[in-house]
Amino acid sequence: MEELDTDETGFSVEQSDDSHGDPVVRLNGELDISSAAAFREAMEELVGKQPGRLVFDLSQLTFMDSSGIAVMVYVANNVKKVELLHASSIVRRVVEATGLSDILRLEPS
Amino acid sequence: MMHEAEFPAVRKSVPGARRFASESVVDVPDEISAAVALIATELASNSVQHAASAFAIRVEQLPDRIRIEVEDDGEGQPVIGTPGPGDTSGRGLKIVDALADVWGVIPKEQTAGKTVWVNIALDQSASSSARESSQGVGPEQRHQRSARRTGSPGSETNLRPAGENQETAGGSMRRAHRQARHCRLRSGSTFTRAR
Repeated sequence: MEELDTDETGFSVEQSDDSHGDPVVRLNGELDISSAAAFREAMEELVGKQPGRLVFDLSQLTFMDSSGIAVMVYVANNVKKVELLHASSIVRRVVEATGLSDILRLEPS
Repeated sequence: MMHEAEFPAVRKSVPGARRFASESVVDVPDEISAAVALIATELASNSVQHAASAFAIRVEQLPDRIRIEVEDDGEGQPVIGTPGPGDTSGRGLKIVDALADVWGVIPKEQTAGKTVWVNIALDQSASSSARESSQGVGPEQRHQRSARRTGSPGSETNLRPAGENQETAGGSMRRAHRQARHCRLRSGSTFTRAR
């Protein structure tokens, strides 16, 4: 379990593994241009471990904009299967509107 | 009532602008307040990141819509990106376009800078037909038809969001989307005057 904090947005990343041994990344707080760099940094490290599948748990994420989407696209470019768990309706709308639902798979909540 | 605030050209202004926008609207469905927060964030981010400019944000809640404006002094015009699935940037305005009822850009006449404005329709199920008809004749709509400026003609086709069938607040909103889009596709690239 590792945690990365940025103030202002209360954004942090927590990583654990699911029962398949695949990484589950839980995002907390607000993800925008002021917190995306911390997110990207954490993901670069994780992507370096070359997982075949990665799950983003969005249950504690209260906001996400295009800079957060951008980091998830970066992850999807490097990890075969990326799933979004507990996406809010606005996140679903954004993922669908940007044509990314093929690479960022929205799991039913 | 119009709410206005100014923010410096730093990244941490972005969450501040988002909070300001969210607090400027009252009694709207969660989906609308989420759209307000996201649109304000994308516009503020553009000012800070692309225009490297301080910005002013204005939010006005009207009976039929919420209007958000972000004004900055930066060079350049916002253009909707055409990112491929693997591109990690260029989606900000695409998101705005998907969530907005209609939006536009008003360049400053004498100096660098512009105001990007966005209208989010509030679903008035009782009077949606009245809103649609008033949209066609109101002064603001006329202004949009004449003053709308977008990117090169080639980029026009990209103004249609991929998720045309996405969920919206209802049929009337969907129709308004199409109306706005028609208006956009018809308009040329001439810009007559600011408000």
